[in-house]
Amino acid sequence: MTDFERIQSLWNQQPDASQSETAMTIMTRAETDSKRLLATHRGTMVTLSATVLILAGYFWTYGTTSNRTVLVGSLLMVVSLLLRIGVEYVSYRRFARIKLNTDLRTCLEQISAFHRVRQQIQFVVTPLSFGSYVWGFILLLPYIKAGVSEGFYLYIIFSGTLFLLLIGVVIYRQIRGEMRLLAQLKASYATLLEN
Amino acid sequence: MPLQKEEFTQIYSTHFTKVLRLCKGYVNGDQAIATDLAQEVFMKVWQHRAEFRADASVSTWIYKIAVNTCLLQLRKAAVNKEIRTDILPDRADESDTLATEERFQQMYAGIYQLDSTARLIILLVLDGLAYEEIASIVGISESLLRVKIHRIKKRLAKLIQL
Repeated sequence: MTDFERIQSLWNQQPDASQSETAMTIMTRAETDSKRLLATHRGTMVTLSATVLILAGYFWTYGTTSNRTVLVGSLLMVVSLLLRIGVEYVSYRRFARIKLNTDLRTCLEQISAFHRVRQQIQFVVTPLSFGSYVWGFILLLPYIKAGVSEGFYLYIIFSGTLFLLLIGVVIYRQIRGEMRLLAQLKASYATLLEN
Repeated sequence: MPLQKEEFTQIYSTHFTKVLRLCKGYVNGDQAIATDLAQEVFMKVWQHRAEFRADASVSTWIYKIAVNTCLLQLRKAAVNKEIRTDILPDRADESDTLATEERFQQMYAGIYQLDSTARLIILLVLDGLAYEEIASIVGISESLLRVKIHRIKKRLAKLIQL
C-alpha cells in the first residue's frame, strides 16, 4: 500500500455525517435568503433615492439663501457619504453576479477581477470620499463654533476626530485584507495553471 | 428543465455526505464551519436550479458549486480570522476511537497545508471522482491535471506520516 493509498483508506473511514437539516429546510432557507437579498436591494434603492430627493429638496429650498460655505461644506459631507454607499452597493451587486456554477478556473478569474476593481476603488474613490468628508467637516467648523456652546463644540471636535480616526483604521484594515486576498488569488491562479 | 423539489431532495440525500467531507477537508476538519459551508452549497444549488442543464451531470454541477463556495471561504479568512491550525495532536491516545480521530485530524492538518487549489483538487480525488470529471470541475486539461495530482499526492504523503 502506497502512502497515498493509506491516506485514501483513512479518508474512506470517515463516519457518514448525519444531515443536520432536511432538504425542505435547505430549500426554505435558500428561498428566504433570496427574498432577504431582494428586500435589501429594494431597501437600499429606496433609502438612496429618498435621501437624494430630500437633500435636493432641502438645497433647492434653502441652498440659495444660506451661507455659501455652509452649503459647500454640507454638500461635500453628504455627497461623499452617498458616493461611498453607492460604490459599496454597486460592488455588492457585482459580487452577487459572480457565477458559482462555473469551473474553478473561471470562478478564480471572476473573483480576481472583482477584487482588482475593489482595489482601484480603495485607492481612488475611498481617499476622494474620505478627503471630501474631512474637508466639508473643516469648512463647517467655524459655523458650528458660532452656533453652539464651547463645551459642545469641544465635544464635536473630539468625537468627530475620533470618528474619522476609527473610519481611517477600518479603511486601512479593509485595504490590507483586500490586498492580501488579491495576492492569494493571484498565487492560486498561477499555481492552478503552472505546468 | 430546472430541478424540482423531489429531485433536489434526492440529490441532497445522495451528495450531502460527500460535499460535507470535501468542505471538512478544506477547512482543516472544523465540523461547524464545514456543516455551514455544505449547507450553503445546497442553498446555492437550489437558488441556481434554473441554470442547471438537463444534459449535464448533476454531480459535476454540485461539485463545481461546492469547490467555488469553498474558494470564497478565502475572502472570509482574509478579512476575518484564520481557521485554526493548532488542532493536530502530538501523539495517539490509548483509546482506538481517539486514536482514529487523531489520525483524521492529522490528515486534515496535512491537507490544510496545501495551497487552496491543490487542496480542492486532492479533495476531489479523495472523494473518488474520475479525472475527467475533476478536469471539468477545475477547468484545466486532463493531462495537466494528472501531472498536478501526481505532485500533490507526493507532497501530501510527505505532509501526512500515518
